[in-house]
Amino acid sequence: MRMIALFKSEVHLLLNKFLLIFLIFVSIILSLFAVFPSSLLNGGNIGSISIALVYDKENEEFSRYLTAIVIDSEIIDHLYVANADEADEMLKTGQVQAIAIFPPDIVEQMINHGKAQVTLKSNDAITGTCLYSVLDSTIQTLNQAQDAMLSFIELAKSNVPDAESLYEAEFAFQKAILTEVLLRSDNFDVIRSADAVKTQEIALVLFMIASIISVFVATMTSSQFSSGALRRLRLHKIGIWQTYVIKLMVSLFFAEALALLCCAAFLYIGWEVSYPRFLAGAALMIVSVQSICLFFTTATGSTSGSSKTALGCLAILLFLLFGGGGFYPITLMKYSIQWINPAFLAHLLSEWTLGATFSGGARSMWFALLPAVCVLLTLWKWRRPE
Amino acid sequence: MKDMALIFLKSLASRIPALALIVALMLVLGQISAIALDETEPALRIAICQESDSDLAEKFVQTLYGVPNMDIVRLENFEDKDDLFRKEYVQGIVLVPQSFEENLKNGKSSVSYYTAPGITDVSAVSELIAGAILDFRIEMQYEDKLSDLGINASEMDIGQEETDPILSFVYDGPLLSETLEVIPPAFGVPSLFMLMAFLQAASSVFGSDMNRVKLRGRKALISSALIGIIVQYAYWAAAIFLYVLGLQVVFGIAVEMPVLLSLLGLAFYANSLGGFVAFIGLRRYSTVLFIPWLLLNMTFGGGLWNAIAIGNATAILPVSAVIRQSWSGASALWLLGIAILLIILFDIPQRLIHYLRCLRHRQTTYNI
Repeated sequence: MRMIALFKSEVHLLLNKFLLIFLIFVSIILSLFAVFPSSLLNGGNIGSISIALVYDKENEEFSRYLTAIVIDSEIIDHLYVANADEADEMLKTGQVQAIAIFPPDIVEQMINHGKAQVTLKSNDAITGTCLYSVLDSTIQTLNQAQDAMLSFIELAKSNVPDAESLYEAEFAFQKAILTEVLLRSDNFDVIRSADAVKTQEIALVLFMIASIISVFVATMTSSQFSSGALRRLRLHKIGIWQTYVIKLMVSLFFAEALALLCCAAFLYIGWEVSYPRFLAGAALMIVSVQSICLFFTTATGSTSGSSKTALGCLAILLFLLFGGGGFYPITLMKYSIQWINPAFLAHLLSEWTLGATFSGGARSMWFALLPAVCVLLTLWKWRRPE
Repeated sequence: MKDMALIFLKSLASRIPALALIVALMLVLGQISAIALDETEPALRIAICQESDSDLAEKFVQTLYGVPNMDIVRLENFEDKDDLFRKEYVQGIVLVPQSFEENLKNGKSSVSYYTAPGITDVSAVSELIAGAILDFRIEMQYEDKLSDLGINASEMDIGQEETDPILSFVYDGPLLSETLEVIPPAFGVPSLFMLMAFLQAASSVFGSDMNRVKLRGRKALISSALIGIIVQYAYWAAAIFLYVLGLQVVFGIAVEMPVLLSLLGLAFYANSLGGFVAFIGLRRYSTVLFIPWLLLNMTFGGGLWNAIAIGNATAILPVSAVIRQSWSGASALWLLGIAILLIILFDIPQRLIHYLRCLRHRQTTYNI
């Protein structure tokens, strides 16, 4: 009975702020989708790299192949052709993340099977290493195209009787190669477990539901600590672990309420989402994120004010969001980092919501340990003499 | 004197859990940054399931093996893909089907790339697969067009040259030259570190708003101020010491002097700023500045995202100064000056509003 009464009072406390929570949630979600460009939400892509190319623009054939390959590349967002000084300035000011410098004699070296040095400069280790792999492949293709073209001309010369036929054959071959270059993405299929943009968007929604409610509950807990309300509960024989369980249940209750509102929005937009899975995903997210916030509150927030708790929790959540692929090239994050991050869990859950199989059950289990640590920490704190 | 020592020790002891948490966060986040930014680690990791044993399929797989910065795991049976996703971290699986050669010759889609759960970004791997297939397609076009001219091209060979030697990768970033190997572990940490220090400093340093201490006399006032400062610096010296020790013991990374000095410079900066805010009675700005400061340092300052734009815009962000290790007395003063100016600029409109309200209130009272 005491537990039910406590649950009701906690719900009542948070219910007073529910309108505020809802408004904050809606405004954050709307601003995220409105302010951020689609490329940022498009799967945390590394495909937003801006690059400056430095090469001899007078060599038309080389320029044609190079730009055909690079402009159409999925990884490149903006392409600039500049001289060395301009490119260095662009890199310095952050306008581009990398510069690829092709030496003036590159074509000559390719023709003679010599060696030229293409230099990739980058001030970004993540995109730099990735771009290196792609540029290596691009140069290989350029080399191949150049070799094929030269061999073709050499052989055609000795077999084609007149200049006009030779020109036609050469033109047909060039056209065929350029067509192959431009249609290269048709040569393979990419099979995703779910739509990339929707996955990213639903992951953000799930993470935001969990974050906003968790911050509010953590703030309330902090003020209950400092006002002595939690101590008084102990006098009424309500243990610390019960308090934490109730807090998790209250968060769950409000997370499900927000998730239901989101389901209504999905229905209105016409997204094909599995609603039971979305609700279950919201539950799993709130347990993960709430555990982290409660842990932070217990470890530090109880001794400081509620505003500091809120700010601390927000800081941690922002870190998780950045590190978990919210606005980050998720592909390049290491497995161990993704494993412990609820923001990445949100990705797995959103794919599950969109119909894929869920493989993140074990990942989320460790969050269950955090509330237990919170209880032990609180007990340790309260046993110390004042 | 005994009382002062007791207060000092008590203040330090009460912060042990917070200190432990901050040091743990610094280590974990530092490692996250270090791993994410480690240029010696392969950037991409995929699995290949080769069902076709044709020469072309083997050549295609070998081309992918030759890609720098990419780790490849072999998957024998495609049915085990879910097992692989569970056990090992790969960003996706390239399936080379039985019909690879046939599809390639017919201009159909010849391989499939399956993304791993949670991975939405395929741009880099797509480019690599496309490039590898494109090489074959160019070769095929070469043969086709030559046979149109009545030449048998099957005995010819193109593309003999290896391209690796003509490509070199020069990191030109502030962090990634060879002499600065120890920087990455300290990379993601400073923004959180600095902001926590800032907040902590503002909450514990004696300020003009502590009226109850003033009532106890001048001696108590000075003692409180001194204790506040000593505790604050002792706290952050302990945090830095534990962090450096943790890096050495847990991860085996020795922190070099420039990094240590940068961290100390950052702590000094944050504490001075926090202390200044508290001292002039504007403690509330420590929380107001917290979020924008955190965001700016994380993004433009390069705290988490290594996309640091080296220009005038980042000059007011202390994290970028740490990353570049360009702390000097002049730069610290410059940063402090800018931060104080920001606080004052924050404060002027608020004081103005307050003054106007008071004025209105006085008029209203007068009218009554």
